[in-house]
Amino acid sequence: MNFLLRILINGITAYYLVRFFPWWFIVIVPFFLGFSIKENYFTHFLSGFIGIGIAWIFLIINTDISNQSIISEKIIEILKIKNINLLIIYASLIGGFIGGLASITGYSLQRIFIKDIPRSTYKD
Amino acid sequence: MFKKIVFIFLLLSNIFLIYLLNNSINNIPPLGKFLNPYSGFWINGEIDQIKVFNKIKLKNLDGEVIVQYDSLLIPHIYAKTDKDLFYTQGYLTALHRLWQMEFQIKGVSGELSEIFGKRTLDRDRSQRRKGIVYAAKKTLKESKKDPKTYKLLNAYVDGVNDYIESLSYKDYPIEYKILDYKPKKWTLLECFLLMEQMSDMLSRGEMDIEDTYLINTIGEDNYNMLFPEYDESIEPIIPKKTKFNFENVENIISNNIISNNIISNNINIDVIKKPNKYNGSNNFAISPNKTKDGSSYLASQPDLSLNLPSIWYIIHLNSPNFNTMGASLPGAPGIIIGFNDNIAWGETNAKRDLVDWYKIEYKDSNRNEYKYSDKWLKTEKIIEKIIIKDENPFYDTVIYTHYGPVVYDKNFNNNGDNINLAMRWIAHDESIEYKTFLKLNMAKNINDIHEALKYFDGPAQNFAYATNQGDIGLTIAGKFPIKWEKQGKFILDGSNPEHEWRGRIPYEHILNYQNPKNGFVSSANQHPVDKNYPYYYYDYSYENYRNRRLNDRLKSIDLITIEDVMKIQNDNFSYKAFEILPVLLSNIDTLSLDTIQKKYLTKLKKWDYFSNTNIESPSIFVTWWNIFRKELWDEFDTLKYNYRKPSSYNTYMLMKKNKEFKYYDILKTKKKENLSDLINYSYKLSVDSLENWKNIKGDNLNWKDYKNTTIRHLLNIKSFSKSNIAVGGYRNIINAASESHGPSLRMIVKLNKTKTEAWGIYPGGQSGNPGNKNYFSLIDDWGHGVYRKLLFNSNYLDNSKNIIYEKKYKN
Repeated sequence: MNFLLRILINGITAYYLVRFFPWWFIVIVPFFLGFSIKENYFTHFLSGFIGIGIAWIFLIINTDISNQSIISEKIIEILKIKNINLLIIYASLIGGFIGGLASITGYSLQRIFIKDIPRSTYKD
Repeated sequence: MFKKIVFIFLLLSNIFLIYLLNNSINNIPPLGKFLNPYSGFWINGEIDQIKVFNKIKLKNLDGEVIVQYDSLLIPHIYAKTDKDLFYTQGYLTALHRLWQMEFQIKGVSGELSEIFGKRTLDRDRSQRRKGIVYAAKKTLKESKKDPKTYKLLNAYVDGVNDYIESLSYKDYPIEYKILDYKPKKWTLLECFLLMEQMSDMLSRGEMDIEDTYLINTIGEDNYNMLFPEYDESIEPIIPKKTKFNFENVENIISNNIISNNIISNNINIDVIKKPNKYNGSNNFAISPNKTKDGSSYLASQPDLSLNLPSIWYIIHLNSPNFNTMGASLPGAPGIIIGFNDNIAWGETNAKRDLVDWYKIEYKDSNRNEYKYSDKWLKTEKIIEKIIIKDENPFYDTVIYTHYGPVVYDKNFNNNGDNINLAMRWIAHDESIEYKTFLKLNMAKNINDIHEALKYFDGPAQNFAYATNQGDIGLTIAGKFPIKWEKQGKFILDGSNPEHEWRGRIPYEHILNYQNPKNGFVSSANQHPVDKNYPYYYYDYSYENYRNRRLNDRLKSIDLITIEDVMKIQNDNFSYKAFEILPVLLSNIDTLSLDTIQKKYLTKLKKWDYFSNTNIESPSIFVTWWNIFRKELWDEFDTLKYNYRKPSSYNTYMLMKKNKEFKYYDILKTKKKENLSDLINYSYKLSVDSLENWKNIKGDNLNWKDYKNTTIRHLLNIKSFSKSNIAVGGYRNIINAASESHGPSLRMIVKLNKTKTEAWGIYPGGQSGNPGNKNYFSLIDDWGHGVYRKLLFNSNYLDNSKNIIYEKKYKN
């Protein structure tokens, strides 16, 4: 399936649906996509990473703008982070990395069930 | 096979990573849980208050309840039943202050190690060993005997719990997320623990152990000279020369007083942390014949540690039985300092020695029995289990005698000596302060007030009150043991029945006066009364500055207005500097000074003794006096165990009396100094110290910057605290704002037949959430002495123009 489409599915579900569950439910969709779609480790990791990461960036910026950074400006002092943008990036990297990891975990499971058939044979 | 290994490896790293990010490591918040956009800290920002209020769901109501919020976020609750009223108070207080409520209780009951790990273990142990939970449990048992109060207390608890139950992780106050723990269910015990916390803060100040050490080290004559109990120059709360015509008083006293011997053992103990000795306050009431508009006034200003979230939460409670408003304590039902349609009241701490220490002698090392007269009494052992985060629990055995818990023994702060000290503390007795407050909240006249105060067993308070009938008065209420001269000033002998507390001063004999001729009553933690009072009283630190200034002000104004009252509460006049500085200055040898030293001296000479924010003289005086006292009392620095030094006031009295005095000598020099040497020496040192401060911190010594008043978050998180607040005043000044302590609330009430009006301010905000726009909102105005008029109507419809939110709730 199209790489961009997978990013979109990962991103949209992370943006709209995960809020009703514990935060680590972000692993479910990337894992499922990884498991069901034939691709390689690299693009699977990227689609999970970018999809979740971007969704988190948007979610966080949304919240932070709506509350005028009133809490984030205080938290960066506690975590000793220079500015709020950096904190947003760090947070999104966490989400993205978990998403990417989940995606390739799904893919590795898929690989167990599929026999290694040479590509030429498979095309037929 | 290889593929399986890859999968399992990836799966495990996934799980491991999520586990890591979901758990706190090394006191860093769990990063995934804390930073995620769905439930992490981002959600704790609150700009729109309406959104916060929309979360309110009052589920367990009997009737209809109307909740309104005004622009200060003060809740106005209009309920049909008292039960609903207190249920809603519990719920709404928790909405703004849940974390603080629970954290205070954890602090007082010694459970902080559950959250912080081993670093708070010693603190937890001392809390447990003081018998605080033991006392709260006793009161809990007793509380069932008064079904009416019991019912209302339980309604409050239910309200708090319904709020807690409505929360999921995402809604938790930010502090829970940072420290990664969960709110626990609230119980009635917590409400009583909160009162124990008040006692811990207000009635535990004493110097018995330190003074036993001192009197044995420096000798009785020196001790009495340096730490006098009483001085003819004091201005007590109850005016001097008041006659007391108590019935039967000789009998009561002679039946109770049978001894007067002091134990003379030396004692080597590390004393556990005491409450801040500047915890104090001022309050006053003015009668209609002394005010311009013929109203009665009540002003109350409790000086406590300045913290965020504030110790006070302002709330308005209305039901068919109640219409009362004022400052409540988060976690306690009712109003603590406040007013209703007819009366207003406020408390200041009535200092009295309400803690005594008894030396216990065990029969043997099993510690099952201890000596009492010619008998052996049985001890009771209570094992305290202290839960420590990430570690095995710590078990501490605390031995109880009939006096109370043995706080210091071979296992605790004993420096190797085998001394056992049992603590007798008024807060160990069951008491029902809540009954007093609920009765005060409903009181209609001065008789109702006296009836309410009967039930107040401590921590002893000076209650000042005014009514719209024009009465004013002041009662020093609390449970006061009858003591023989000097009983409990030093460590007592637990095996001697004569050393036991016997009986309390009957309510009819406690100090109390109404409607004096001069038109006002006041208190500011000074001596309660002169020597005409037939009962012995003692405290180690009575204030002697704020009271005199307060009374001077009240005497000097004939027809007082509300503006005058506000000015008095914000008065920055330093009585201490006014008395001491002329003595210091007259001893300065100007010829020996360099240019900078002369410059500072000119500033001091010009000073009018007002400690205002943007002048340098208060900084110079305070530094000089501190260094002077340090050098004067340097003899004390050689002492090994806990001690105290003479107070500022007594230092000044001794300076005035003694031209020659052995303590004037500075130990580290060879010369034998006199007073003038000491003054000059300390002046030069202080100029050095001030210049040094300027080099590091800034280009001037403006008082506000130099003293740097800070309102600290309870976790001491810098970005949740506010420092360098523009506020004048200092310790021993009516506006008592010092570095981290001061007027935690200013309230003024004006009462007359037509209406009750009130003004208030405190350094904080109603919302205890550092992410709420309201959190710091009142601090600047508090610093500048600006007040907010409080909205107070018995009908909710009259509030409509001044509220930002209103909603009706029913089941």
